[in-house]
Amino acid sequence: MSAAAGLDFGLTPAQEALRAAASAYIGRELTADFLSEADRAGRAPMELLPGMASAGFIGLPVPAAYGGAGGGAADVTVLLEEFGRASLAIASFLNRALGWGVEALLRFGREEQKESLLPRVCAGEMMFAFSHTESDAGSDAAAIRTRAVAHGDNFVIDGSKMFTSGAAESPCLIVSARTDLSATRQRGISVFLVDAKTPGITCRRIEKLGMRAAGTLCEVEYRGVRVPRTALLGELDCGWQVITGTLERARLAQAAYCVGGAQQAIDDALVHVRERDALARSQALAHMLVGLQMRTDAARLLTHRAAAMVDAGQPCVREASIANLYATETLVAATSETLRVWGAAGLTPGHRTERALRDARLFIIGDGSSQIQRNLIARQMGL
Amino acid sequence: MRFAVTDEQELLRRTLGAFAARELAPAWLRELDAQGLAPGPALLPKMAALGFTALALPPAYGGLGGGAIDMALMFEELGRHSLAASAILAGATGFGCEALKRQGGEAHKRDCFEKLLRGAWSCAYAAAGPGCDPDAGVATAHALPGDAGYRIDARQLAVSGARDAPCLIVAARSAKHEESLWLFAIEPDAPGIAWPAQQAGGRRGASTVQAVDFNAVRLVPGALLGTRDAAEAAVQAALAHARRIEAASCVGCAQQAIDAAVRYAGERRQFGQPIGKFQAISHLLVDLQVEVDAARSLVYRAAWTADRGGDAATESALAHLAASEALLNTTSQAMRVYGGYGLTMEFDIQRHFRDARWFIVGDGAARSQRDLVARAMGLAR
Repeated sequence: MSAAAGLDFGLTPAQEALRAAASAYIGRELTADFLSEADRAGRAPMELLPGMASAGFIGLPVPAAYGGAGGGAADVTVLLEEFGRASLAIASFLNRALGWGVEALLRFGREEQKESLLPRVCAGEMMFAFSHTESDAGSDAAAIRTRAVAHGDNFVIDGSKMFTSGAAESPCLIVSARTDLSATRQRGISVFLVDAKTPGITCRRIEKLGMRAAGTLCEVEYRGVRVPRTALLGELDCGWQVITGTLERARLAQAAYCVGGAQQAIDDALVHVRERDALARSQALAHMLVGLQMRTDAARLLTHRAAAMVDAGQPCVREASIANLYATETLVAATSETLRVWGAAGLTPGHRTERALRDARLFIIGDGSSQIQRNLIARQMGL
Repeated sequence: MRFAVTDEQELLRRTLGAFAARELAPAWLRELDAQGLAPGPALLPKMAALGFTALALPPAYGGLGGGAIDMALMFEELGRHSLAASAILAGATGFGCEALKRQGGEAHKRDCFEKLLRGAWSCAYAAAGPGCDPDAGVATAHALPGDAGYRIDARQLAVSGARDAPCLIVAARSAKHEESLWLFAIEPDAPGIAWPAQQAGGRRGASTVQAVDFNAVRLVPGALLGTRDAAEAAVQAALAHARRIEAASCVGCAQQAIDAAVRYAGERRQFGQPIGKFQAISHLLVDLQVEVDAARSLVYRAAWTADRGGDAATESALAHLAASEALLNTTSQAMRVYGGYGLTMEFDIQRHFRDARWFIVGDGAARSQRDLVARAMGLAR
């Protein structure tokens, strides 16, 4: 049997080093006080970007030609799991810099778009906000009504987007709009890279339960927003491909930080249980924690399985959705179940469990709810 | 991490599939089951002829030198077709074989493994060792004066495996030093061993466990496997081995149950469409598939850990816990898809439903697996 064949559940030395580097960065920068304050203030920690960039985290998936490290999905999984341990919100913030937008640019961007944007990503000067969801187009993602009408060499975008994460602080918005009004549903949609300072864009910030340190959640109005034709990401009227063609990566990223968050919730609970005799003797608590560890281990393996498929260029709609469904539900279970170990202390502001409990709720909804993931998996199973 | 199996392992799977198509036809299994029977030991020589009993034996004994991952893949594939068949192969290549491999004397190993390669050796065992259900009881061994050998006493000792196995391996605590564990290979019909009469009939289902009395059973010195006091680690490793095998079989059976239910949901029409189009049915099946994928990952990881020479006790316990619960849940939930048909003998789901019960109670009950992992996590002191 050759060394490069067969099942292998270990990390590569480079991945171990990446994890150690992330852990060191987290220990240095993401202190308990910092995380509490960022959560309380509900602000995007933009000041972290240069440090994350110089540590090589943001450029991880960007090819060397654009200033990155050329890492794969498995590497990103390792990185985001480690950040998910410290903070689900910061992991999601980091992913907004290195994740979906980078993947969309790499797969669908023109060379000059990549050349102008990706080095800035690697330098920590650029992040993307995906502006797609609308008040009547949530799980039914093809029901968007925002339009972009061609005027000479420009398009003019009009419409209203709901739940655009990071809209208020991201330099670049990735906006979906209907460009062929005679087409319906998935057809006739295009995607644009829009400078956030373009006149006609207004953001209304929406307060939220959790993920407060991940940045803003906004309703974004586009009124007569004029963008050049060169802002098109991918082909005209073929935006649905851009939107769906990169979803596996987004689902995987989410799964990765959910695994980290679940593991941290368990580890925190373990420390607390071991310190208290009455808790340490409890078989009921022990069995509960064993069950959570079992699920978290499985979630990690399912996430890496899908990541390995992405890296091998294999289609993995089913596996990415399975990883996402399993990891997000495991995080929700881990954060609510470990609360029982902490008692009332776990509900006090500033407690990591309290924050994780709130943060976790996003993941069974965002980027495809658990029910949507089940629909996708069902289709792949022939149901 | 890598998730693809090797070409040799693919071939192993295909060989298993071809064997099952020939020897484990669904109609035949159903017919046997209707008579209260299941495939019997006659299958073992046929499996041996294809190399299944040789798979994990070292080449020095004529084996193929395969590892824990190979074993997991073999039992997963066999479990897809018949849990009874996988129990028969587990009797030959499971706990006893692993214990012998680790603790047996050279001559003893040569003798047993030669028979094993022909499909003429299997093993029942009583091993309430580390992590096993303490209520299952442990035999007590007395060293007899001089070199006279040993005496074993036990009441209602839980023995896994068939009475007709040519070998019985018993883990026993020393009467003098309770912390020391000895391992013996015994003839199952040695004087003083009382097997319950009701187990005499044919086997049915996934496995058998029976309460056996040992009344002053005398053993020659050579019955001791290895040296005294060295058995603890071997029992631990052999139990982990047995758990991985069972867990892999559970994953195979659960996958088969899901595949069959998915097919049925695509064929059965109600309210003008296949019932699989209803989310109530499709989401149920998706959740089962996700649970089985999770369990399979844990089984493979446990096998990989064992192949790297690590102490895979915790990983194997987690794999067994996940896989046995997944099978239980799958058989229970998939039954809903069939409606009333699921309760009839015409559909296999009822057999899987019955077989699945074994794995959450036998060979390290689910609760005991949780205890084992909890201890490893520093809990429930």
